[in-house]
Amino acid sequence: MEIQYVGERLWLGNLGYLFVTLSFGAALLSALSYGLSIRPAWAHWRGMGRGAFYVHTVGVTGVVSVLGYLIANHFYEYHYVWSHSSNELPFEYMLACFWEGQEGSFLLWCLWQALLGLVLMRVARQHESGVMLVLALAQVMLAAMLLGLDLWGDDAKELGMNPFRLLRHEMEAPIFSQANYLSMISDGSGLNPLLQNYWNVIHPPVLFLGFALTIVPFAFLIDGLLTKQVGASALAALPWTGVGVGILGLGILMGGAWAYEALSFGGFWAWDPVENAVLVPWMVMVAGLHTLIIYKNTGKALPFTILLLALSFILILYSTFLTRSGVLGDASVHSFTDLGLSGQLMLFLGLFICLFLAVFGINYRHIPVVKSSDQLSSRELWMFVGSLLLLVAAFQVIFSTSIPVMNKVVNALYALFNIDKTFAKAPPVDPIAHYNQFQIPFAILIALLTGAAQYFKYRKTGKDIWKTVLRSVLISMPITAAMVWAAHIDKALHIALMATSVYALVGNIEILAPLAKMGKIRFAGAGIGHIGLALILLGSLISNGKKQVMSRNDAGIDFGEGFTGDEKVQNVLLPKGKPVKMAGYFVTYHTDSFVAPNHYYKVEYKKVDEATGQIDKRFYLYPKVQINDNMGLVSDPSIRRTLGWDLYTHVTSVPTGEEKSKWEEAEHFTVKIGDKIDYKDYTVEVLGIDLAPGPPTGIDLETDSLYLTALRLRVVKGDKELEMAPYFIIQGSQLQRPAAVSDLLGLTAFFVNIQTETKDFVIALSAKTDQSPDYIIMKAMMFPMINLLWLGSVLLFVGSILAAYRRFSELKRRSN
Amino acid sequence: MKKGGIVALLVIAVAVAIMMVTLGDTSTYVTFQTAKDNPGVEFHVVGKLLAHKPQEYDPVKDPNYYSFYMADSLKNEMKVVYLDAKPIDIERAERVVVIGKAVNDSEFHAGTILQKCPSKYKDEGLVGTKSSSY
Repeated sequence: MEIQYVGERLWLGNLGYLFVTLSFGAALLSALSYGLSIRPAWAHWRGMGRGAFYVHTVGVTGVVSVLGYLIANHFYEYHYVWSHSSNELPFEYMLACFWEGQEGSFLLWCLWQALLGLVLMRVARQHESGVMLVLALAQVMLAAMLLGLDLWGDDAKELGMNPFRLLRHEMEAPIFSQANYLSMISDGSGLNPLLQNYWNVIHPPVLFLGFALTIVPFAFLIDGLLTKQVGASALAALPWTGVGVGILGLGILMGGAWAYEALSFGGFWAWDPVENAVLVPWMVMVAGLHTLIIYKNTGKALPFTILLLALSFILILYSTFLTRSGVLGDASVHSFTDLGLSGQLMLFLGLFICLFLAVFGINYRHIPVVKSSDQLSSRELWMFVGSLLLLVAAFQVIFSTSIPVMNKVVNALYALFNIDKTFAKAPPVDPIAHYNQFQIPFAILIALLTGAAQYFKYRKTGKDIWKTVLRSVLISMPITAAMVWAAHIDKALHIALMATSVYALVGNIEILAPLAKMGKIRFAGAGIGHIGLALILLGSLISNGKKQVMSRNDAGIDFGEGFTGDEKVQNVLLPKGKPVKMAGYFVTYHTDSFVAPNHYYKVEYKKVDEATGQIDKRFYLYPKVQINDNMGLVSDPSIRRTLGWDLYTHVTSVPTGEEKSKWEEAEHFTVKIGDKIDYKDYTVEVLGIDLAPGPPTGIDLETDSLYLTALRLRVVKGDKELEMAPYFIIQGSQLQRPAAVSDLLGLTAFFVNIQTETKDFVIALSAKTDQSPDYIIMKAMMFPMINLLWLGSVLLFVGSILAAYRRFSELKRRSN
Repeated sequence: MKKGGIVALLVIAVAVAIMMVTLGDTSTYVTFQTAKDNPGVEFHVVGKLLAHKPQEYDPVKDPNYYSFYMADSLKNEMKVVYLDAKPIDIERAERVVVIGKAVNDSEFHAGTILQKCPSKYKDEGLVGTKSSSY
């Protein structure tokens, strides 16, 4: 018989699912109609395309609203709500719950793309049909991720994951056989504590907006190829490419800030596959932006630009596949599991690759190509070289990140040809060193070009250019020397990177100065963005290259065979109240406090002037730890920020509950009434037998137990004194000796026996071992000049948006 | 030959060089036996922590020494030493990946440990609900 479940609000899920199907169907209709309307004769289909896209947007907004409503109201009959949220979560983290799961993050991406579609519909003008065709197609693929259609008659293989799945369908547990199961589920399983950070509230929307923006240049170029007006489409795509570079870049760096502040990676960038997967499309997009500018000014490089911008979008799809298909399983510290969408993600990726190749191949001959040889002194040559460098650098990152994919592919090929071998390449043992060995040389060259290229003119520059370039070199040299000296940079490559980054900074400031004087701030975008890049490079170089682990505690420790000692000795134990010396500071762990759900540890840093004994500097940090049912101890660092350096403190471990309540092995004593005995720090006096008919106050006996008698003891420890009464009972037919426990004194007393002949009593005493050991184990690191990095990030964003704004207004002027 | 051709050749040459160096930098997923046969060479070993075997982590003595026993995919066991704090909740990991080298026939020194936690979506039961009625 079907169970009639009580209290489920099924109509909400049905409504939500209705919106899912509506958005899918409308996107499909919109794509078809827009596709037809590309033919000038069928332009009237455009109206249908628009209408359907509006309906689609309503559908997506409906899905988002219903899911948001379910989360905000804790309707735990829904699996998504139950697995990503819990009652006590503050409102802002409800947003993070929304996009913690796959379904929610696809939804966020889908929502941004729908909103972009509404904007593009109005501003794309003659490009509307082609652009919206591509956008609507992508929306079809994204909406399909939410369909949850059982096409193959197999529960594990569905098309998409419906976000409104019911908990009772997803899990098997005895409670689901009860009609009122919902009343027993009082709370959800909660949001991963690592994600309970404000960066995780603001960075995913920005990042997904960046994802959504990569499709815009791609869509314009497809339109251009289809309508054989690729030049005009490329120019219309230029400002959008700039916006994409700005927003996606901001999203990536916000992710870095989150990693730095909350994830205890020990830095803002670890070349983790997840980070790489979004960095690569951004690098390619930056390359494409620059070749697009070349095209705008000289008419050259259009085919290459099309390839770069298409690649950037395809890499976004590829990175989604990488991070969400489970293929990185053994390669990343992040746990990725295949949620059953990997086939669909591959289809998404494959479809767009094929679409692009077909459209590009068929229309290749319509792409205008300008033939002329490049002068060594032309700006476009150097910009082109820079774009190539970015592309090759991006290739390096994605190649190394794709090693797990390579394993799958090669092994599949072996299987196909019956070759009895396995290919089991693992990522490099030290990823940071691996990526840096390539990326530092690339960064050196790119910084050099960033500083120099803008002094060149398009086509050909006069001879005096070399003088200008030389001047910035001369200015930047002493600055570099001073910084190298001050920051103690010693590696040759690091010095080179510092020199070219400083040069990029100086060169771009020199370009900005006259613009500012003339009040032409509109043209300052590129300069500001490049200054941002130079500062990001300098900030990463100094803060990472000169990162200092303060909590080294290597005095007198034998590291054993195979360890050099510089390796991982980064944790220090701080006993409560005892200062430990670390890199010039006295560090003391004072107290812990608990504000649900976090434990905060108060850690004092103190610097003392050795000559005078005066306190030079003192501050407190409060690293926190959340003890989570599902994830164990989750630590959140605390950072002391100053202009010049950040001091980062992170609790790696605290004593567990078990260690806190260890008892010594009991010691037996034979005593008479009136005896005083000494046990450890305690004095125990035997007052006598308790003759009362019932058990001592505060003790409730179970009904099948019979109280016999208790022994009254007075226990003194230091200035504390109290009475304890261990006793006998008969339970069933057994004599039992329940212990008397005093938490205050940390003592347990047992009444063991009465020796009837001598009238002696036998008692046993057991003290708590080391009154709950209280300590924290922490790591402390110093990141110098990391603020250069954050400042650079802001400038890069501001510069990109400023430049894009200028390009938008130019485009508008031209078309009016 | 045209300039474009030269540039394309150069780019391809750099790309090939990158691939060669990268493949040289890669490590390999192996079993403990291979690691023992090549002491001092760094490998990735995938396996499971043996919860019933002794683990050593006494932070009061040394907060940077943790050792445990692990069985690789062929069920070969080996002691793994990790010079860092004990990773939180490592016993609950469905699978661990240790990256490091065998120093002799009995000890594997890991520089990095990756943990694969049980998926949120699979056979977890209702862990985490605070309901106690079943």
